[in-house]
Amino acid sequence: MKKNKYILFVTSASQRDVDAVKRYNEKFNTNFRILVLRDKNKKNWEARAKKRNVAQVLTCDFNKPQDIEKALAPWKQTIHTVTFRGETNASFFAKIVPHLPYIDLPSAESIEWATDKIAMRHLFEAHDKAITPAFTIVKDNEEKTIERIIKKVGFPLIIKPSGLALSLLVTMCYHEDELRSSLKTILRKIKKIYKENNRVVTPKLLVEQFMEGEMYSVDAYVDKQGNTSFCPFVYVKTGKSVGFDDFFGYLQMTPSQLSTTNIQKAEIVAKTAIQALNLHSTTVHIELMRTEDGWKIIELGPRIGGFRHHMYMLSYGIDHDTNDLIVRLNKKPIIPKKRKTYVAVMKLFAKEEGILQHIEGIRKIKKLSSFTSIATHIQPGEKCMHAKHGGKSVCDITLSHVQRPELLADIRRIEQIVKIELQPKQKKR
Amino acid sequence: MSRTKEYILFITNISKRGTVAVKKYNETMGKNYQIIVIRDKNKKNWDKVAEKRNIYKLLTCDFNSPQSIERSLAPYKTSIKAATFYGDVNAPFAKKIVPHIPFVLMPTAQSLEWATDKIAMRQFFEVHDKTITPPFIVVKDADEKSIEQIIKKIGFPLVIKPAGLAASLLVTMCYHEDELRSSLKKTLRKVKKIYLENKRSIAPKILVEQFMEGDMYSIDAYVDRHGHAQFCPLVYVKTGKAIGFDDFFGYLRLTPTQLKESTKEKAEHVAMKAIQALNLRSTIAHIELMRTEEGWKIIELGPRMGGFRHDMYVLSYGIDHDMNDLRIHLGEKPIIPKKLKSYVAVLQFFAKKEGQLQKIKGVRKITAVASLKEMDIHIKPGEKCLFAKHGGKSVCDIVLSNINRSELLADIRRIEQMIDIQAI
Repeated sequence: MKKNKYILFVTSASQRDVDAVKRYNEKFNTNFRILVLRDKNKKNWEARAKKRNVAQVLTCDFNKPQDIEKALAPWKQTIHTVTFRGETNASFFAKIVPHLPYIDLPSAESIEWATDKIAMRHLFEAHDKAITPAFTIVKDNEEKTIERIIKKVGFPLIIKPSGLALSLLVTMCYHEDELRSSLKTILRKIKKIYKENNRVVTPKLLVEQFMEGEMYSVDAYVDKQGNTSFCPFVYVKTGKSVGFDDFFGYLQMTPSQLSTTNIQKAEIVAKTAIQALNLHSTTVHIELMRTEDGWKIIELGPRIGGFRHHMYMLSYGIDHDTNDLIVRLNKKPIIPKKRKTYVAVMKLFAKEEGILQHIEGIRKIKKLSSFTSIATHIQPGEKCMHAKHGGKSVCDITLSHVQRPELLADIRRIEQIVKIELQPKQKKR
Repeated sequence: MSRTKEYILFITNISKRGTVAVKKYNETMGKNYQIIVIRDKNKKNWDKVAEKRNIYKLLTCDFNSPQSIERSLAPYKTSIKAATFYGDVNAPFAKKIVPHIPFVLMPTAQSLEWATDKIAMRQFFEVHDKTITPPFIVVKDADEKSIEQIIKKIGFPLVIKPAGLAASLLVTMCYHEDELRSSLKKTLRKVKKIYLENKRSIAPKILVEQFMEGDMYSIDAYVDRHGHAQFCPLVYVKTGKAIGFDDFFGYLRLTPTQLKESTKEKAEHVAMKAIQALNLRSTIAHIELMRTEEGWKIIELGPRMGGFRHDMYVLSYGIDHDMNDLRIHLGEKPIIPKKLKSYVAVLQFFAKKEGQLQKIKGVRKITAVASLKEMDIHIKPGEKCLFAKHGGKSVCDIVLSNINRSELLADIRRIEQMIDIQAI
């Protein structure tokens, strides 16, 4: 009897992942089945697993290496690769790595560095100072610390707390008074969060120079020797540029208008970042800033970027989900070069925080020629929060068109049509 | 056009033996590997030794700072083809180097960590196969509840092993409840003091395990990148305990053993399970085993070459252990000749009591013993002799070899009668 072969997904496998494994099997004439390893304290996933035809759901306590070992031991010889989706699962993935030493995976340390803002900056600096903005690490808001920040970093600057999810508590400061008050507030809040989570370490804050310029991102496949194949660049307009005091990716658009020389320069910088973190056998998502002093790294994630599968599929026919499996299984990813369409994704947030009353214009935008899909995340009656406070977008709209001007016109139309209305705030008595 | 240089990285230091192994490897394989050594920047200057040993480059870094390691290794990363280290004490440093050389064949940092942490090791053995490990328990205090638990789960005799301390430091045996109470209290106090001195803020943990009665053996294995292991011959070990010391150092090591093939196979099977349990790859593993009435059990495993093993294996079978270490790190198959050349023994002598060494009697006579191959004296008159359990080293080590086993045993007996270590 032939032994079953498995691909392990850490914490969950979406329908898209199931489809990617199916496409991989068809393409390479294999018969990989899906295993999912979940934390034993998370909600039961059996019904979903059955629906998605997952071969087996394993459970473990991710904080106990012996427990992970126990869960994986019977499957170890038959697991051929491991993958995960989303930033939050990277730390769980890092805990799995040492238990599967005979398959090609990035090291647990590489994953840890790629999910720790401070370690990441330190390693970028060690490798090549030019790819990273000026930064300093602080633990308090004493006078000496303030002086050091002003001297080493200058204004405007960004404060990024380490060890918190996504862009939580990320704050921008333009002058000294703002720096003093922000540092105080963030340190107070972060200490509270650490206390709630029983974390005994002293919170650290990364304070870095605010980079002025245009933001781009790129996803890349890194093979087991560290060789990198890049996907096309994506232009990113953040919430900041459309009037929000927040850094979420408001508009993401590909292909970019960058010249080949500029793309090459950006790829060199992205590659340096990958090498600095010693990554291999993985997909990476790199955010870059094109500044007056050249390309700089905002950050790097050891994973597929958000929306990238759809964006790359629509624009170039790149099957990003399957390529992620391909690179992990030691095969060459397939990256078609011929553009099919221009693609944009818009993430719409409410201007203010509050209870959602109504989203106006959805029916109208569905008639636009670029319209491809819409995903609504918040229903009327639910709370809208800014990204910096851990909130998610009200809705995400994907657009695609063979003509760039048409796409830009439809983006403009959507900005004019969609109105996110919140319930009127009750006056305090 | 000049060819890019290729390097072998040695972690913290390289002995003369290490340089000889690289030279021999280069000659045999037609290579030109140069040696790089990476040391902690706070350790004493090693430039002279490096020059003497023809080291290509001596790198320094702060092993506690990943960016400092990255900075030191960055210019050499693509040309470092293998990395290795000798000795238990260097495993934690190797662990810190591993993530920075991801394209070199090495065990994972976590495997190295588990293989140098007595508690994690036992827990992994238990998860993988309960039968290869003695019953054990982990305690953090000497409270009544802990004592009760120990007696219930382990019984007597038992061994107390503090976690996170080097070698056999503070390892203590207890035969009854009173001894357990006092030893546990004493050990905890001492460990807390050591932790405080080293600014370690975690609570000390003590591993308490059943004392295994039986004969002790050890074996070195080459583990390839896929986790497949090839074994060197087993070595019989007589501990200090067996000759009247209250200490577990290896007094006598002897190879080949008198074990029959099927027994050896069983020992290798258990050793293999231990390797798998710790997820080891691309390394030499040194495994200590006990042959008990209930079968083979693992004492412990080190992700390194065993002490004296290069000399013992070269003399007994012509196995070039140092060179095989390079081979396994370079992704090649180790060479393990099977034909016996001679029986080999290593004796490690300690003073019967701790104190200042006065004299070692009988050294001249020993040089006339037919089996003698080498004698290393580590402690000179006037220097302090300490037991292994207190961090001391042996006064002298003697390597013997003879094609006739009876002759070898007779020479061991002669040496035991000749040598007299006098300490006051």
